[in-house]
Amino acid sequence: MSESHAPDAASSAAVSPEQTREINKHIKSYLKIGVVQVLFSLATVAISFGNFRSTAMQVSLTLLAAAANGTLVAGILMHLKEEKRTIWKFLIFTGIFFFILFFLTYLARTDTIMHTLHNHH
Amino acid sequence: MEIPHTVTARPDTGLYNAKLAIWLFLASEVMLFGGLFSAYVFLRMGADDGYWSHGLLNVPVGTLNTIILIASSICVVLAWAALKMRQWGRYKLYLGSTIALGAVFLAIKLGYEYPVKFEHFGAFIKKDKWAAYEQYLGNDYLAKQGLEPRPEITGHLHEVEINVADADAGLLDALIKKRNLEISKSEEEGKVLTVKVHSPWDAEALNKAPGAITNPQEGDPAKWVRKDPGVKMVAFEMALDEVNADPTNSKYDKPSFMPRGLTETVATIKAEDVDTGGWGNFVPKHSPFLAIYYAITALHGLHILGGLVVFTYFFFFSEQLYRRNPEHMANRIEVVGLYWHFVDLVWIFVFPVFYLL
Repeated sequence: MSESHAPDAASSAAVSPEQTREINKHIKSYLKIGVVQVLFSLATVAISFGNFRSTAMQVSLTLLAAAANGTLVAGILMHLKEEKRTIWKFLIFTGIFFFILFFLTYLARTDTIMHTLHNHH
Repeated sequence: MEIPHTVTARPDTGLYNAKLAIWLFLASEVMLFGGLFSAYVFLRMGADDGYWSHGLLNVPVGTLNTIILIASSICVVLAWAALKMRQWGRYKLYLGSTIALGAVFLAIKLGYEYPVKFEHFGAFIKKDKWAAYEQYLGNDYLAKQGLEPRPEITGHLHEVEINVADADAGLLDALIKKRNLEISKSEEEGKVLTVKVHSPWDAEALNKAPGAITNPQEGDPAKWVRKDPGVKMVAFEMALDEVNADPTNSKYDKPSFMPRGLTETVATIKAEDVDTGGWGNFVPKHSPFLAIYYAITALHGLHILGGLVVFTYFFFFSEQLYRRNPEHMANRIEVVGLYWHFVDLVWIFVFPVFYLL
């Protein structure tokens, strides 16, 4: 577990001081992101128990706080912010299919296609 | 044979192989969880007023688990950064912390949250019988407040009254002994029994007790026909949850942050007043809410377990690769880390959707 276990290739492929500085900068930002994420999570809880006139507003804000939290994970911890275009293309396609999936639920609820439901809630 | 592009990027994609693969895998995972979330929306929108559980889950515990998962996500990215800086000791420390935090998350889920639900009892009262249970449901009060009705009485099951006239007496006795149950009252010449139960599982087992054989003259046991049902539920006696003990108290109009406890108020609910199949412990079949809750959280838990297995493997068996090619090792941790962040991301949405909204 100690740093003295300096493995062979690992020591020969040591990082430059510039790289070390760069990674240290990243580490600081990861720690900050962790704190912000915890705060966002607590904000999500606080919003959900707050007194809002409109339930729709409360639900939207709760989900917005969760989405902001998720954006931090995907954008910074998963390095999506600086990821290659290939990955973005995959994800955009996935996003399209993801929304189609929810649209199917909408179609089922509204019975747009078959018109077989007689007793909507 | 050397496998190309395990460390260096392919010229056409600009990515090393494993990274491309993990993102494709994560795209398929988005669709997997997307399908389940879509089912959640479908079930929730289709639920009648009052039949979608609010405030059933323990919010402080859910919040704690969220923070634990966020911390584990930060630890794994720090482990990756440590490898990039060739700091073997720190890598092991952060990876070990990730494993420990993931294990705590699972322990809370499987060792506390699920078991508490499995021991809790609830009975959905038939709509035309709500008035008879007004003192526990408070639906007149809720209607005046413009709130959704409360169709379920919940708490801790103490006793069940059962009609055993059609039961196989020998098998029923064996079941009662096996489960270490106590008959507290016997009426109508032993045809109606009151049985003290330890948990709702006992009531479930009694309800499934086999009926008496109608054709005992038949020699071949495979041809025996049994009365069905063998045991008929007559009534449930339970200690009530706070909300059912004092249903018109305005503090129960909304879900609360702190979980609500059990009271000493005891209620008897007639089985004939309960919806068909509408009684039992809080397992998936109890309600659409619990069905989708267990489906999504159990699948998420399996993902946590999968991540822990891979992390544990790397914790014990990564030194050789690190010695040979530290950048390759860093890439491996980056790839598993991406998976772990995704699992964290899913939980970030699971938490508000089930615990808060």
